[in-house]
Amino acid sequence: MNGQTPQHALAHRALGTRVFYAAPLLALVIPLFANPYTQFIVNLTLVYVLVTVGFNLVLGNLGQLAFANTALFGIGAYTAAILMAHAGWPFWAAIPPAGAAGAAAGFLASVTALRGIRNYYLAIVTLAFGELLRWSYIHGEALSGGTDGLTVRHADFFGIALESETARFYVFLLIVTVIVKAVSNLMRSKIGRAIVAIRDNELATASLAIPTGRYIVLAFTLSGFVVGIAGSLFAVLIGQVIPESFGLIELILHFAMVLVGGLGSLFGSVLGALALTALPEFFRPFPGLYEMFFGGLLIVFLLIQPRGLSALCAKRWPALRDRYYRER
Amino acid sequence: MPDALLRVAGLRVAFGPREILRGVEFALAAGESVALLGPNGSGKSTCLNAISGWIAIAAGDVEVAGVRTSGWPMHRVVRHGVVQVSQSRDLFPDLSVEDNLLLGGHTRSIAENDARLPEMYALFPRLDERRRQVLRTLSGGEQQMVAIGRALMSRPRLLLLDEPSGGLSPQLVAETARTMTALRARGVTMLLVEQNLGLALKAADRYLILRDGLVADGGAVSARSGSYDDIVRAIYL
Amino acid sequence: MFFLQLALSGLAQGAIYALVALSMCVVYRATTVVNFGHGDLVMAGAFVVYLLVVLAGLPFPASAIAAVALLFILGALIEIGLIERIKAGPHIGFALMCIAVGYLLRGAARAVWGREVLPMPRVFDFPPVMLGELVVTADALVIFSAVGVLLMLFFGLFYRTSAGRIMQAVCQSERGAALVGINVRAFHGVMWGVGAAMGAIGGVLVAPLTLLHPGLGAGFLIKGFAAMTLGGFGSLGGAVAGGLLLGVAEQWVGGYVSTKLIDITAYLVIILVLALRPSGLFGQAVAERV
Repeated sequence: MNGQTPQHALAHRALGTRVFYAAPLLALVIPLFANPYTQFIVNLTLVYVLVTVGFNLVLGNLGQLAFANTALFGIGAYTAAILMAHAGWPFWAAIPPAGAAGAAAGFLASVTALRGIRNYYLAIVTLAFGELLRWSYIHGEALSGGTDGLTVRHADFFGIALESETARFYVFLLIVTVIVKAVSNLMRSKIGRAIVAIRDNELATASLAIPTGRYIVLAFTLSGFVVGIAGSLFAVLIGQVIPESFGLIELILHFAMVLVGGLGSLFGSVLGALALTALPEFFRPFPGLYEMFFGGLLIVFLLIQPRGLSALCAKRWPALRDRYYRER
Repeated sequence: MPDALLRVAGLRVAFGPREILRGVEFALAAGESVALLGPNGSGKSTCLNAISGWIAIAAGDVEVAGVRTSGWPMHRVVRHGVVQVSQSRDLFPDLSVEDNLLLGGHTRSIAENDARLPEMYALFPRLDERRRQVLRTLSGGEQQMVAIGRALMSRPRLLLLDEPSGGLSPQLVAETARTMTALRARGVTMLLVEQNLGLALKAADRYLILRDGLVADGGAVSARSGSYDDIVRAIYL
Repeated sequence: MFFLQLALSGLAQGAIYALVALSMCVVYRATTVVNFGHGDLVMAGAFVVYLLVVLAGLPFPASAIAAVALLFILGALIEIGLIERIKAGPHIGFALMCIAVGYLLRGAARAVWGREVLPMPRVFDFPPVMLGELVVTADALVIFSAVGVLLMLFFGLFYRTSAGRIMQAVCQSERGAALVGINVRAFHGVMWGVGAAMGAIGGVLVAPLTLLHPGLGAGFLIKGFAAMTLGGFGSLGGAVAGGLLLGVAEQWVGGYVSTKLIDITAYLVIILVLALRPSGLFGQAVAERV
């Protein structure tokens, strides 16, 4: 495969696995060097790694035009915030419901996809879904705090108060590593291969007696779960959950991370988040620059490097190539 | 062949890593009718599509009336007088017969088309009765006539036909053969790809056999006698 | 009476939606691409007209024409320079490209205008007309006439002229069009230009009526899409009908249920139509089942 001898392939796989496990371990030392602001950016990057991994599942691996990602992000954030702010739940308890809410929303989206609603319809329906949710955040003041949103003050993780950026970092790192590893395992399994096969040729896959419907639902639901959890982390990190954060402005950031990182590549998702998370901060003082930059970035990548940074890396260092990544 | 109307030299076409045409070489004189024969997958349609400008040429040349047309987009090739009747006909299903024909004359002036249209109806009287009928309601054989008529509207120098007998009953195939003989009599230069040997050899002066992306054999139709066994052998064995 | 008055304002709104939906449909039928940035092209039309009228001091009619012409060129350039270039890539690429261009336009608008929401000076300043007890505002009058004329021109051109016959031909069979010598690539560029120009006309008509802000486009995209879905995706007449119906529906919902719901009526329409009758009012069966 890929012109490698079996020994080479095995060696590369071993190296890839080692890199995969080493990265989080190496990351553990970051708080020693980082000031609180930098640490905040690192934490935000971790959140966006999850966001991108989740989005990529549906956009890249499954190949569906589902634009619900900000909706899923928002549902997770609001669920966690509502539970914490209104019901006084500790942070660690609010995370699973956030994931569940995201999963439920993802499941709903998958039902739409299953009914034969594809491509541009799915895109607009999911977009509309997201905007509907935002409308309900704005108008459901009693629960959601309206346009002012909800404030998340005390984040309690099994007794540890996550007040400092450092504390948040370790918790986030743990959660993100576990989830990314789980997704990686899934994508390398039969399930993952089926999902990618559906993207490449749904008709052919169905004719092989593979229950495509089941895998479509799975991909969407899992995507919602991952992004929902990311939302709960986001709520704690920013401390404020407002409808504005989950609109169309946010969506282009998600798109950019997936495309720049690499559609369908787990490694790419990480790269995309790493590359782009810090940037919006720079554009804040200049109105319009944010949209122009990300719009332009997407255009440039679509023209020149549509397979993203991960494909560039895979060319230079074949050891880093995802094992399930398929060239189309 | 000096003063060839169509000259194909060293034509190579590839789809990704697979080379379909590997150096095809032949020529056609004006007024000639040549049949391109060969087994499935030998690249016959690909050859026509390359000449038409529908697919990209990897290497080699196509020359029509002394002008190099290789690399031109299809609409430019059509303007130069090379028109194809494609395998899937590609007619306009929701337009009338007359509109379909008129569109065939897209590259010509209104006056020329107005003069040409009656000639097409004379060639295909059945279409005359159905001028305003929407194309999708016509039978396969009638649609075939429209496809050929549409191609002829612009008075092409060279007419390419991809499997004209495709999907037609034997009766209609015979009618197609009659049409093509009539065209031959009018001096229309034709290059046709055809699986049906009977039709091919009725419609052509010469035949070429394409195998594995190269011209493997050829000959004049009139020089033949009787059965086609030798041709079939050359094609399939 | 209230019912009819609402319907009337709804039709005026709906006429704009009809225009936006029709322009989206034209682009879709001609090139099979749904331009997710189309709303932002409409917004761009409104903004260019604003720029010319307020900052350059040009009279409205001249600015309107200039805005439409500029948007025609922009639409053609986007198709030729960007969309054509990625034809060979993954399908998702088209959607992302359109979205990216939309954001680019949005950002450019925001960069020039800062964060404010801008009013434009009144242009159609004549007293309303009375139809019995119904009030027809000056704006509504202008919109009805402009859109009405435009629709007549468009459909007349499309169904009765040879240029229209060419358009129909390419829509029905791209290969067939190429076979008769039509330059399909150039056609694509021209049709994107036409779509952008038509959308810009909608933007131009709306500019004196709404508060302009860079995010205006998203609303138009959803409403255009809702109109197309309601009327039957891919049907030109359906897009117009859907747009008008949507406008009226919004006003009725706003008048009889709650004004808060006006903003989301379009989303609800989309979801309802896809749940109950995916082919819309005039479209063919749309769902692709595996």
